[in-house]
Amino acid sequence: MLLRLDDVRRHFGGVHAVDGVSLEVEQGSIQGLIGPNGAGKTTLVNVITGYTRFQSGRAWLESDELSGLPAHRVAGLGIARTFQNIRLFKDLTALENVLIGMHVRRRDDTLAQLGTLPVFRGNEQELIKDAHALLETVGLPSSVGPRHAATLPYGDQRRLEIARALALRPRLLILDEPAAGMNPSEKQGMRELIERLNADGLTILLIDHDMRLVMGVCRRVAVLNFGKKIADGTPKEVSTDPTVIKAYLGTGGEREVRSAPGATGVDEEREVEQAAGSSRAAREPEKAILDVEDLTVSYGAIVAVRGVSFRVAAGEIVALIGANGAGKSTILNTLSGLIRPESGRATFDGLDLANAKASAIVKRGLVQVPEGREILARQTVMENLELATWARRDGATTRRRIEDVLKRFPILGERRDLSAGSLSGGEQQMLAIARGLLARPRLLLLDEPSLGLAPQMVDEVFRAIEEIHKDGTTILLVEQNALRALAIADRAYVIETGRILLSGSGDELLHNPAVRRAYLGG
Amino acid sequence: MDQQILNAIFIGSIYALFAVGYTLVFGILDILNLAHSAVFMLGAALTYSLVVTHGQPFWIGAVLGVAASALIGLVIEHVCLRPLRRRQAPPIAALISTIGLALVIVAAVEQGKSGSLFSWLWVDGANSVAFPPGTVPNPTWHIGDLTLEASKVLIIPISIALMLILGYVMRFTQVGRGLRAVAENPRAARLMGLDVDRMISLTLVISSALGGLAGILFGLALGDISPYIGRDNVEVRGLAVIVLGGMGSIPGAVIGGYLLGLIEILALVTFGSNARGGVAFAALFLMLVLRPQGLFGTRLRERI
Repeated sequence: MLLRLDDVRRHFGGVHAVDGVSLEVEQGSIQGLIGPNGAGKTTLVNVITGYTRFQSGRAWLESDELSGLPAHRVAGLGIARTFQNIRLFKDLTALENVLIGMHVRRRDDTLAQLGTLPVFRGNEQELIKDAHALLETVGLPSSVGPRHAATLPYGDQRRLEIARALALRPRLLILDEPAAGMNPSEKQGMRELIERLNADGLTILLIDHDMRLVMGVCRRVAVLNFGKKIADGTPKEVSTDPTVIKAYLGTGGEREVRSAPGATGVDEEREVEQAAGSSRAAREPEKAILDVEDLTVSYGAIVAVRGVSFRVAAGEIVALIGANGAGKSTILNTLSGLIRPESGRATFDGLDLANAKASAIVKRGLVQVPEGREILARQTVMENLELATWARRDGATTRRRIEDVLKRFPILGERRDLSAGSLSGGEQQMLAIARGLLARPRLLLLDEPSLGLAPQMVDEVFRAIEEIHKDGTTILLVEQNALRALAIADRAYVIETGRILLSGSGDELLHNPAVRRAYLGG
Repeated sequence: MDQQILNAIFIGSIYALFAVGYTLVFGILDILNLAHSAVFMLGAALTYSLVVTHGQPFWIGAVLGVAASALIGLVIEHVCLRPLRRRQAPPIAALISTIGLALVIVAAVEQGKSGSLFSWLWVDGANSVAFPPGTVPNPTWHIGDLTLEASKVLIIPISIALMLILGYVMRFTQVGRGLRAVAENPRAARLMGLDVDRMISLTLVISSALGGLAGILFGLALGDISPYIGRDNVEVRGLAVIVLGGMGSIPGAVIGGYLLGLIEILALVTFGSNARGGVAFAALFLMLVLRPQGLFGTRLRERI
């Protein structure tokens, strides 16, 4: 075993980010580490690499104990990593970034590094030669060397990060979402790179949300959920493990999900095509309150949403489902006027969402309850609610509307004078939804309302959503808990890497194997 | 000594009034508005000109001076801050653009001589002037050793009343909640339908009106009005005050203002007048070492 973890724990306040994880990574293998958003993957990597302290448990790299070592010592022992968010030295050239990675290997002392004494020049030349070789290894042409890291295209920055990590001559390379934000062909290139590095003898721990990538290159995959390891095995074992499917797709609430989608063994390809072909034109409503056409949204070089079209009619619950990073939240934020689309149209009740101010959009009745809740932690529950009436103030009835909402969420009434930051996660979610309702939505966008909540709380949140819908509010729901969302949705769209993969009624998709594949690859 | 303490309270009132506006902008935008001291000076200079050059009664001069300061607040937002925010420039860029505007304002006043382009604004160039005696009725009382001049004493209730009103607005009104929401989480504020740009404009208007008023009161009470009163008296002291009180905290700025006034006077009494200038920096330094978040500040810590 190259890397061995024994009962590693890390808590933040009451949150068990990593809760007793044991894991072994075999020499020369590619080990996958997956799990839903917030499962504790990055925290685990931070603990291993010394960025975050161990609370308890131990870890070894072969015979070297890692627990308690600071980050630079762990790096010195031979564990290199890349970061979820690229952390290159942006103002240095690509070559310089790699040279810095070689720092721990340099024999000469600091004084010598300051001046370029002739004695050390030979060494310097050699390092530069090595750095060029590393750029070539990760597939960057040598012309990239003198360019500033910040000026490189996104995919090349990812590669450069790997080159810098390789400069440590690591025994173990940890890749934290190396393919995040990449388009399919860049992803393919990343896959080939990972396989090539491994073929040259490097052991790799790979974390990614792209199941196709993880399941494709890893020999073994471990799955985390709520800080605990829930499965560990071959990709095939893991992707058919009911616990894993439940962690990713959620549960259908009262409806017991015995057979996971896709477990029935029908011809999957054909079914996908059928679903995609039949539902598009036929089921989309003629009269829509929200009409999105060919929407494309980018963050700089990363295209997050690629030509998405969908509609929502008054009175519907429509779900957008798909794995993390598929572009769902980006779509909602574009509709709310927080991000401007690159092209395409989105109209809500005649209002051009691509150009309207965020405040005007809320006034018109399109209200978002954002992912992560974003309650105002420093204000009291009551202040949060009072502020929520900002867009639709109407004097005397405001008070009454707040009281009505408190009746729906009695727990908020009990906590009205507490600061919102002191509420539990579930209570904060209730507050966020209550706040959304006070803006008098005609269309309520809910972004991951069940994220990070205990199962019981999830039930309560979904019950609230159904009640709100019954009272006549149209709902557009974004959820990772796909089965749960499909169980209450009239219609749903499955999104993968910024595109609509298929759509149909909630019931149809609930039994469609392609849904599982969108989440777990295969 | 009693007289000195009284002086401490009244200079502290001016520091507090100035710093409240300073800290309000920082609390909401995380940006130090270094044009604030220029607004302080402009409020005083404009009121002086309206009274002395244009022959207006003091109260009209003061009202117009505050109004003009508020307008400068809008200029700061639209010229120095908003265009940079649109481009997602780092806070340091906004800091520098406000320094730039401060320099422009000070230079414009400096150029004001009779017959020049800016003579309507200021005619005394780089000189220091004072309101002529009798600009405002200024009865003076003697109680024991204390000399109480109405113009100085009145500063205290005016400042305290304004700060209480601001505190009330921030704490208990919908606008105040909105401003606090923008300070805490602009994204969430936008999703709740707040027009964040307008809230920021409002912040700059309030802040600059207070800054201008502080300048007018300073000019009236100390009889020292020149293009440099902002730079020399409140620019760095204001910074010391908001660091003492906790960056972004309004009660902190009030307490910090009075605290600095007191520390300065004590230093003056103990070490003589040369010590007065340095003591603000000493206080600032000690605070940063012992309690970097200030008296009322929340922990300064960047997330990884």
